[in-house]
Amino acid sequence: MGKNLENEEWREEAPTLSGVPVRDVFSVPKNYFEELSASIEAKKSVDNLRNMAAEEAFSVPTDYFEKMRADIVAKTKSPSKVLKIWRSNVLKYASAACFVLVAGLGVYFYQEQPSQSVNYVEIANEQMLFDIDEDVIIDHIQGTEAAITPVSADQSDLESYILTNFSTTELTAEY
Amino acid sequence: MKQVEDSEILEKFSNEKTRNEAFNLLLNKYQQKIYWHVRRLVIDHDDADDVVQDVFIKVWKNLEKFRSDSQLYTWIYRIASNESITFLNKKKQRNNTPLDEVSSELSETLIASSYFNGDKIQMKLQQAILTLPDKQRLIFNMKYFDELKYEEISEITGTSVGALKASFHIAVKKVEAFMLNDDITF
Repeated sequence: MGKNLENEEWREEAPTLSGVPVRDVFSVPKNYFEELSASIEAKKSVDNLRNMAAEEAFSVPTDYFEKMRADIVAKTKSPSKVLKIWRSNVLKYASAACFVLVAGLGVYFYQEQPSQSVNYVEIANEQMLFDIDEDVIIDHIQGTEAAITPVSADQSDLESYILTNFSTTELTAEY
Repeated sequence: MKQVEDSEILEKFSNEKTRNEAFNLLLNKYQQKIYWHVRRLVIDHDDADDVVQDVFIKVWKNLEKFRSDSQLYTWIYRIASNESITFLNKKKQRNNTPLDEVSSELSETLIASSYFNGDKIQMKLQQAILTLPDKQRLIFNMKYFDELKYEEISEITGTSVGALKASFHIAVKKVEAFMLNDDITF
């Protein structure tokens, strides 16, 4: 009775709503409720099977999940990358050969360099002489010759020098 | 067919040998009530079917822990109500539906539903109910259709009787106003 009174209170506040018959307006497919129990039973069996498989079929070593977690965390911290230069023997020996070649070329060019520097000096001197006026050079030689003290030598010394250093053909040739 | 008492179901369920029988009795007794309760909330039949199956799987898993300090049917109603509200919330998130468009989405589902037997006035009533927030809709349905007492609804929803009365009063006013609006026709 109390239940009915409680459910009648609102009718005075909402006469339009009160005039609408209370009934379920939704429907279900044919034989739905007959099949619903079977569907729930099937789902229950699958759920039981899933639980059984999850709990009993497989096992793991003791503390496996703790160790797995630690391993995964350790793997996420990537170490600093090490680049191996000589990963193969071919590359190693090729590098060594290149080094020897470069060193050899270095030594070779180092030895060649002094003679080249001398050549550079001679060329520079020649260029300098070429640039100086000819009269200035002649005057310089004459002035120098005058200053040079004549070297004294015996006649016999001169003859022996000439005979030693020049051939008969050279001496008889006409100039 | 004589309805089996909840106490008998619980007693049979406590025995390992008669557990399956008890669950079948429970299904026979409550599956239709729970279906209609869920259907009025989620509107679509297929959605209601999914939710009802989940509800009874939950009942099966947790019935062992059920304490007789509350009635069995209010306990099952609570599970069904929570599952329905959770389902609706998930659906809103999945479809990325703004809150103000939720009722219109359910309304479209209702209009498109091939499992609706009502006339125009019944359709208008359902549209009016769909304008209510989910929790208020839940309370309105339990009072209007299931004619449950406030104490029973309080046990199901965990809301005080006073708050339930206020909520139902507001819901009735909103539905009445919607029904009186002649601009809305179907």
